[in-house]
Formats: sequence, C-alpha cells, structure tokens
Amino acid sequence: MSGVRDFSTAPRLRAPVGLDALALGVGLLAAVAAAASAWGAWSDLGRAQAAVARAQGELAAARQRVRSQGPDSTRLDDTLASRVLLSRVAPPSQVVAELGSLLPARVRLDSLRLSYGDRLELELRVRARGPREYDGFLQQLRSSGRFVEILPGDEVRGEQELSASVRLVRRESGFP
Amino acid sequence: MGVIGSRLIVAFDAAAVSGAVASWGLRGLRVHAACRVPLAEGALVPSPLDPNLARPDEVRDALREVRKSLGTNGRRAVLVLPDGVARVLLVRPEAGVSGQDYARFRVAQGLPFPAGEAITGVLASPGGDGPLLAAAVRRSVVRGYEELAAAVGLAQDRLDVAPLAALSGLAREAGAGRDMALILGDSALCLALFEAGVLRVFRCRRRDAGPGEAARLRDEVERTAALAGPGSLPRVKLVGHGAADLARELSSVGLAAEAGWRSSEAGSPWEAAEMAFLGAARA
Repeated sequence: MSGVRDFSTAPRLRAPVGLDALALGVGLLAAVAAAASAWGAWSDLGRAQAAVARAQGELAAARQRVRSQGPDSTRLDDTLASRVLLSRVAPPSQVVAELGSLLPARVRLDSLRLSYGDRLELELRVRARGPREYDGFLQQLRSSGRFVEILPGDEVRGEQELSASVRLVRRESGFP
Repeated sequence: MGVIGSRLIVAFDAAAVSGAVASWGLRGLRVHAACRVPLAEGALVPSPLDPNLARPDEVRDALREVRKSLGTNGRRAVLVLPDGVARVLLVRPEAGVSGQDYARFRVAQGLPFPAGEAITGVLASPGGDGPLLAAAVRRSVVRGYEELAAAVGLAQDRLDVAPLAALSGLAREAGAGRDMALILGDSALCLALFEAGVLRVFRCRRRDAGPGEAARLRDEVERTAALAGPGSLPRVKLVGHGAADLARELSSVGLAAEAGWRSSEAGSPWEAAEMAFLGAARA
C-alpha cells in the first residue's frame, strides 16, 4: 500500500522527512552543480570573447597590411600590363629589325636579350671589324632616337675584330 | 526524542487520547515515546455525521496532557481520527480507469451527508494494481478535531483515519498466504483480509470489549475469511487497544494470532501493538 493521505480541511505543507529530505538534498546538490557549471560556462564565454577580440584585431591588422601593400600590387599589375603592351607594340622580331637597320656594314649582332617589364631593356653583344665601326654603331643607336640609356659594356679587342656588349632601353611613346 | 525520521502521532478514540513519537526504519518500528490519557465515557463519541467532541474541555485537557507528556513542543503532529468516523469502502477499479479517481467517486456515493462536505482519501495497493481502500469523512467533523489540536498548540502535519493508518503499516506485513489485519478501536473494529498480499475483504464492526470478546472475534474472523471464498483460516495480526491480550486469547481458541507489530528495541517500555495509529508513521 502506498500514497500519503491527508484528510485535513486545509492540507498543510508537510515538513521534509526521510526520502523528502534526501530528495531535497539531491536537489540542492544538483542546483549547486548547475551553478558551478553555469559559472564555468560564463568563464568559457569570457575566454571565447577574448579570443574573438584577438582574432578580430589580427584580422584588422592583416587588412591594414594588405591595404598598405596595395600600391605594390598595383605596381605589379602595372608591370604586367606594360609587359603585355610592350610585347604587342615591340615584339622581338620588330626590335631585331630596328637594330638590323642601325647596324653599320662591318658590325654584326652576336646575341640579343630582351627584358619586357615597365620598359623594354636590351642587352646586346656585337662584333665589329674595329673600334671605328663599333663607335659608328653606338652613334647610330643614339641618333636614331629609338633607344635611350645606352651604356657600352665590356670590350674585347683583338687583332682582327672587336667584341663588345651594350645595354640600352627602347624608348616607347606614352611610357615614362 | 528529536530522532531524525521519527513522527509525532496523536490519535483520538472514544476511551482515550494517545500519542507517540515513532519511526519505521530498516530495523523495523521504533517507539521513542508514547502515552495514553483516558477519557471519561461520552466525552468523545465517534460518529461520521455529528460533531464528535461531546465534552470538548475534557478532550482538550487530555490532549494537552499528551502533548506535555511527549514533550514535543512545536513539532508537527499527524492527527488520527478514530474508527467509526470515516466511511471506508473497498473498491475494485475497472481496467483503464484511474483507480484513485474511481475510488474517490465510489466512496462519495451513498454518504449520509452531502458529497460536497466529504474529504476523501485512498489507500492504494502496492504497484498501483488491485483493489483500493477509499475513505470519506465529513468536513465539519474533521474541523472539530483540528480546532481542538490548534487550541492546545499542536502544529498539524496531516490528518488520517484509524483504519487506513493502521493498514499502512500492516499491509506491508502480509505474506504469500492468507493474512488478516484486525484493527481494534475503542468502539469499533475493522477486519482486512489479504491473500498473497492483495486486499480482498474489508469490514468494520462495532466492538463489544466485554467478556467473551475473543470468541466473538474468532467468529468475525471466520465470517470475513468466508467472504473471500474457501480456504484456510488466516493468520491474524492485531493492533489497537487490548491487542496483546486478545492475541493470546485468540491463540488459545485455535487461531494463529499475534501482535501486529513490536518495537525493534529490546526492553521497550511500550507495547507497540496497543497503538494501531503507529501505522501512520509508515504512510
């Protein structure tokens, strides 16, 4: 048989005894455990918020760095655009033809290296019968107006001929 | 006194006001304190209809003496009303209905007072299956006892009726065979027959405590057992005023009878079976 009867005209709240007290104790322990868990969760939230703030700071710094490096990327983009444009307006075949038209009769082109960038830089190695012919070639380059920054390099003078290197830049209209 | 888990119980009956501080633990029943203050005849008349306290001053004095004797100042007390105050009915709920609700509904039928004035309670079977014992008492009758307890400064815990309080303790003692709980009140007695731990029959009779009571009780036991169908005579456990003597007398007339419960403490000065209301400490 089970069940607690109460025939009172106004049932009272019974004093906690026996299992009731045990249940109350377990309930209190559960409440304490829940409060401790909530406190731990609150601390975790604080740590998580601090981590988020740090991450946001790092992100802002990274964005700032990206912004500060913006001109470089722009410059890279400009270089790439110049390279594309130069390769179209001054392809190697055209440059070789221009140089060929400027070579005196006793000067020949041994090698040519083209560097397409913001501007077109050339490095030549020529072989000439003698210094007079080589100087004539340099004079032709200067007077053509198509090349600037003409820098004669090393010269190897032999008994029969002269070998020399020249660095120069092709002048392009509309380019700096 | 002041033992954790113990309860203060105060019981009213036609011949006395009794009280005890008792607890049911793993070792059984422990009675920490008890007293019984007799009442003059006619001071308290158990009745389901009319106010029971014919001479309230005498009952109040007895109750005050009980409280003083137990020395439980401020402790909440379970009040137990005597046999004869409640209408008690054994109810067998149909399958699929709420047993408690059905029992309360059934016991409220046929009351000698308006059902709206009834306070009902149920003693359920273990596990919730099987018959239920439902009881109803009149609110005005209960109020008389409550006011008396408040007048002497008793803080009321809950209120129970004697048959159900006693059966709260005795039902757990029922074994696999036939057992009968015989609850002795001063003016009424109740018989509850258990078969394999399930309550089968419940009856209440007026009590005649005069000469030859043991023989009359034996007849009542046999009639009650017959109501449950053919079978052996039950083992009888008695609680209430005079239980110890009657158990001996019933044994002498051929019944297997014994006191319903004993205090687990050796040498206890109180005869626990004399106090049927101690079952309320086990409810």
